[in-house]
Amino acid sequence: MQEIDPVEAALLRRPCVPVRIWRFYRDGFRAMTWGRTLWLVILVKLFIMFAILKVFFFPDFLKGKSEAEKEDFVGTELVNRKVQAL
Amino acid sequence: MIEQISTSLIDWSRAQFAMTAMYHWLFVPLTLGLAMIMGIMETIYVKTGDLFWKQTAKFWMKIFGINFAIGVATGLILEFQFGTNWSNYSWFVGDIFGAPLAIEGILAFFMEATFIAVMFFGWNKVSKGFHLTSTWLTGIGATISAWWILVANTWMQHPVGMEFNPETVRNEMVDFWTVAFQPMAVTKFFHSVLSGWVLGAAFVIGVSCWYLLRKRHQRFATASIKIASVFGIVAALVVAFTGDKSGYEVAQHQPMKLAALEGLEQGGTSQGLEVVAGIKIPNMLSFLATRTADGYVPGIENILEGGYTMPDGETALPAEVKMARGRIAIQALADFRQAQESGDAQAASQARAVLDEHMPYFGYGYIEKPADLVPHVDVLFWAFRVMVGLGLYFIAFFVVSWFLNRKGLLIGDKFRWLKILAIVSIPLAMVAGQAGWMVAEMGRQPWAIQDLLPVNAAVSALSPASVKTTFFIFLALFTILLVAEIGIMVKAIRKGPEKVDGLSGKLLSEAMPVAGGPSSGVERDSDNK
Repeated sequence: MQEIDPVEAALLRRPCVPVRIWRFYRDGFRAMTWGRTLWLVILVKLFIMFAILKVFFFPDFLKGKSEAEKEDFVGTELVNRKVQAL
Repeated sequence: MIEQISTSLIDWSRAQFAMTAMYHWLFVPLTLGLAMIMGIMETIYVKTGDLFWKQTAKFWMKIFGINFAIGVATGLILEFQFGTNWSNYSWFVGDIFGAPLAIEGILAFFMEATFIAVMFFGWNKVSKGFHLTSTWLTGIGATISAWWILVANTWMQHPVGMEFNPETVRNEMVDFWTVAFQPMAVTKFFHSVLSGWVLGAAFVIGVSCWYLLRKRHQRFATASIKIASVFGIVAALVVAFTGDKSGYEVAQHQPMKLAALEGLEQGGTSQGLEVVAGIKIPNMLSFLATRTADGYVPGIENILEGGYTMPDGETALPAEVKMARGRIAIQALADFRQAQESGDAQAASQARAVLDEHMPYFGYGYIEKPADLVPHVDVLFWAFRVMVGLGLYFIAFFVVSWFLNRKGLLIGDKFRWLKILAIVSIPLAMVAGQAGWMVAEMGRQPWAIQDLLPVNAAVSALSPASVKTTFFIFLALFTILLVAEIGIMVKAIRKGPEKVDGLSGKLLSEAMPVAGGPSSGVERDSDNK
């Protein structure tokens, strides 16, 4: 019977780093108990935050303006809100 | 045209931001505190090989995970609000705010995200040393996150290391190190983060005392109290020390905040500190504010009237003069922009010189009357006393808990009152933290950025109704999330620590004499990875 080189055997047994990382996360997620509920809470929360709140309720006030337009807009706002001397 | 911003819009925008920040600060300090405690417990496990400590660390990690999951990303809602409700502010602060937040996002958040996975998934898969390193780096990542957020917050309280560019209408950072490491930021970091450690310690002791009341997991409970009480004593003492330092710094840079905290209408030399209405410690306020028993502390009226000598040796200007100079600064900004537009370089240069001269008072140009410079005295007065009172209470609480636990007196039916008090102390630690932020944030009103931008200039011109609507949406969302967290956490606590591989059941719930430490019955880990 042909002898297998020990290094080669070790390489055969030990997958490459990306595969090991993939398996690490895969097995970790599979083994979760409490984590499943927590991930559900996180995903629902992120969905509400980014797909609902950010889109419908929190648009960027200066969105759609170029840098120059933003400078002009805020500059005008800051000047116009000045209190007049009594 | 002078734009009118309604007080309703300002109030609702502030209320919404305050609610989000306060909600966020329920989770963050517990994350910071538990991260350290579970790190200490896992370190003991790695050093001794005693599986009991692995089990103990794993339980607190689970609680940490629940808190982290519910709290994670709630801070992002604050960033949404910057862009929507506080757009003038967001533009005006420029990269001063952006840089620390970007560092926080890139470095600390990814550090946390990476190592938290190893911490939860890596048991028995990576070496003990690597796992322990990951646990510590998760906590350190969260702490570094807090550093950058607190740097940004400190800059709002004491803006340094920047120059205002009238061309871009933004502040530009000229000295990163001054922004990142100004003494106020360092003090705020230790004060805030270690108040989180106090909450973490109070939480561990409270939950452990609940087990002791139920006569469950008694060894686990007493061992947890042993770690948490010592950790809590150290944290509470540092919080007290940095709180004192913070008070001194407030006296230097935000005298109105200090005067409002004390409800001090008329100041003077040799000022006493009012403990509660009618009870004063002679000369204490002067000592806290100036480090001399007879130092001068200005009151609210003195600050508005000016004329006293400030800590830097200069004479304080009356509020009316500051307001006039603020209006000159804003007019100079308008003149500068107009001159730029018309290509008149000389006029632009003159306007720039006027702006630079009056820029330190820029924000006063938005103040209608001197009384608007006074924050809400009653709320601040009591918030400050709640914070300080609870801070002192926790020093005593941790010492008593440590002592009784060391003597083994918490096992059995004795000292039931302390165990109940320990459970009540969990929300009390949260109240102390919230009161602290009320002092910090309400105390600097009307400023979004001290002296440079008040909230009425910082707020976006939105409809008050839309801000009110989102306030109630948040209130509903936060309430649901909070109920979910409390539900999941209570369920996990009721279940208690789970048995780890290799640890027999007998050590899990037995009562044991504590004086000799929890390792009188050691079951060692055979895994030497």
